[in-house]
Amino acid sequence: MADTASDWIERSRSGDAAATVALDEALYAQLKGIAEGHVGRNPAHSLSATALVHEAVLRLLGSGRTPESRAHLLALGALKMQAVLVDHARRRQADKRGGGLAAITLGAADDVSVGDAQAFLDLQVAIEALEREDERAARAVVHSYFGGMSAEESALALQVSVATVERDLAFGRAFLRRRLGA
Amino acid sequence: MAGRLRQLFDAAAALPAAQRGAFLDASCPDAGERAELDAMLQLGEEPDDALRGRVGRLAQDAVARAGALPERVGPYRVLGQIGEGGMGAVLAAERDDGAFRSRVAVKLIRGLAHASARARLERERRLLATLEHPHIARLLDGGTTAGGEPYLVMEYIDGQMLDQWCAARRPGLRARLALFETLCRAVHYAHQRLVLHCDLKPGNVMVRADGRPVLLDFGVARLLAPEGDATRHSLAVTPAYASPEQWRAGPLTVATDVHGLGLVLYELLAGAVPERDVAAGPSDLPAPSRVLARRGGARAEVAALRGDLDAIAGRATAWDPAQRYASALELAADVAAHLASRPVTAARARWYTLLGKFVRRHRVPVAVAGASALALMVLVSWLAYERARALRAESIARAEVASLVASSRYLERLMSESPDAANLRMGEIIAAVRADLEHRRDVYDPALRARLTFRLGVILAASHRHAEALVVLREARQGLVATGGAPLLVANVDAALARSLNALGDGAGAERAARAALARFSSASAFAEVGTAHLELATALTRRGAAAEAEQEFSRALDAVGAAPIYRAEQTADVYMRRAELAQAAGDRLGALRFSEQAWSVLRAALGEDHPRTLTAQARCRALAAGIGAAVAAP
Repeated sequence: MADTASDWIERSRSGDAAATVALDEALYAQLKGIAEGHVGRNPAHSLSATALVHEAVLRLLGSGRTPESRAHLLALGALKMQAVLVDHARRRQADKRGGGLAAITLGAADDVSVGDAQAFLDLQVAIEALEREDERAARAVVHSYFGGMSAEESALALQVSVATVERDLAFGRAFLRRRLGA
Repeated sequence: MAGRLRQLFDAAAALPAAQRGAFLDASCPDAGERAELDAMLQLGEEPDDALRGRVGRLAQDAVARAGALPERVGPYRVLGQIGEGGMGAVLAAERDDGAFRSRVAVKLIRGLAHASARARLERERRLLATLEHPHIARLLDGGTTAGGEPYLVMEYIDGQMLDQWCAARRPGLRARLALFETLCRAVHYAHQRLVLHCDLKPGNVMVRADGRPVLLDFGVARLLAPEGDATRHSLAVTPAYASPEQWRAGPLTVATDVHGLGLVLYELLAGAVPERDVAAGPSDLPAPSRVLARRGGARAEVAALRGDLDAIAGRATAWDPAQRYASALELAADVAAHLASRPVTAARARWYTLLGKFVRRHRVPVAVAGASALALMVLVSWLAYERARALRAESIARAEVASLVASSRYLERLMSESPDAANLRMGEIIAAVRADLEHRRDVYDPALRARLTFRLGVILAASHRHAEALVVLREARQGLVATGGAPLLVANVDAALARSLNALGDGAGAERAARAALARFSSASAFAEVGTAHLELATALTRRGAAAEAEQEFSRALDAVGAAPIYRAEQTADVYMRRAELAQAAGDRLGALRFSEQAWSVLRAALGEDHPRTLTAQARCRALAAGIGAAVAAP
């Protein structure tokens, strides 16, 4: 598996869309598998979005790959996590309107209100606005928020300097908070 | 290019806090903009835990609810999950609106965040819904869930997946071929309505209880392509079944679906679909008979696939889309011809399309072969042989360059940089690739650079520039090993090295390289390079007098080239021709004649009586026979 994955990563890094699709699929399968494995084992113990992405990347990649390919895969993982959570938030909102997911009782999960889904979707709208203002800054924010990527990892994935990523993040944060009043 | 807001923000943020006010006063005549920046600069300093918290809480909720199915999707009541497809879950559901109940399959589409993409999905869905054919699962409906998630509703097919059906029913070869022909005609029906499937594979074929096959997901991959990219590569396809042009971002056409049908044919004939190692460069899939034999198929079943059916599957799945059947209907017709024991077009078309164009352009001097002078005949025959090789080299060069695109969109860039790109000759392509690799030494990722260098080496060797090829291939090998390249790729480099070393007379080096290559190839590797490695090893062994071992390697080389569906005859002839050269070099003119005759007979059977390569081999046999006759006649 690791060999195939690193081959896909190399192709994906050089702009091969088919390879990116393949990685996207593989990442999704991993994310889903890890999340489902977590359910029922210890629902009270929290598993953060960024930990999920890192775990998925680790399972796909194994260790000992180049920092560049790891960063690339983390970046794809962050994007995937964002897409998954947007879908999830929309479904949760539908819950509120009574037409969506079957109600399931899962202890601590009940504490999460549909208000959280709305807050998340507001954040998503702000990130989309940031994307229109400054696309790379939006990517850096997604890397950090959804993938837990360090500035160094983000810099490798975006092929810019660490200082640039830090400026991107400063601007991105300020933009989002200004928009959301948070 | 950063926007104005970003530029001002960066400039101000770089200043000490005390100077920012004055900077903003000077730069922002608009009070609103100034206030905006002022607020942002202050917010930018503070931690953003609150924002991260929004992501965290939702993720927790998502994890807690992972795997839960919705109760309803639009007006459909969900009964259970059928599968997890490339784009999302597939659910069994039923419409329950009082009057009647009908079961459907609902496909949830995830990750389609933008409203424009959703609107387009809706438009195209209506087009696809017009596809009405008994062997195509109908797209019935579609919509958006309350949660904003798009979904497609398809006809629910009560039956088995193709592979399960084959395993359970064990249909005879004729029944399987008849089913395949039906599928080809269904695909052709859709093509006539300008709908491509783009993700044809055994997993998208079901067979109803009464034996009628049905194609699933017609046009769905294309439906989900990003806006403006519907004819290109970035479709939601299954990587293991993607056609070469899907991998290298080429335009998708009817030929893409013909390739997919070819894969379905593999499943029907051999019970498995071999995976193409796209990274290793242009390659053909091993013939179905070979796949079946490897899976332990009965001898009679394997034998039934050899010939026509191997050729049909080979042509349907050819690397180059232009060499495949021009339509699904042509593929159907060839299968029908085989069923009716009429000759199929695949065998003839294989070489014809490959070489026809070149032969028309350059009248190969084989026409001169009737010349009486024996010396002239020998000269001409070798000349023609070299030409034929050169033209293959040219087609290899084109394919190699095309495959570079797979890793880098490389050619596009080279093209954009050279004014008269379309007319680049091989020598110029080589020069351009070389210059590029040199100039961008520090830009390329080392692994990519190594791979590009390998391609350059292959092109050089194909052009008989072996000394240069050697230097380049060695550099490529070093780079591949240093970057942890795939063993198969390193093996391919070693095989190429062995060839160039032999050509330069370094038998010991060639032997080492060939053995290194063979050590890395697995028993499942069935592409040209395995044959090359065996042939080069045999050559080196012959030259150092290890005749028995060489004999073994020659026969392994023949086995290996026999596994490739295309170029099989040509490569087999190459092996015999090499043996003829070696025999002649050793003064064994009778042996040289015998091997040349074998090459001739292989070429005659595969390419036809009057193909340039056949005529060349024939001329060579005559020349050798005449030489022997002369020697015998001499006192």
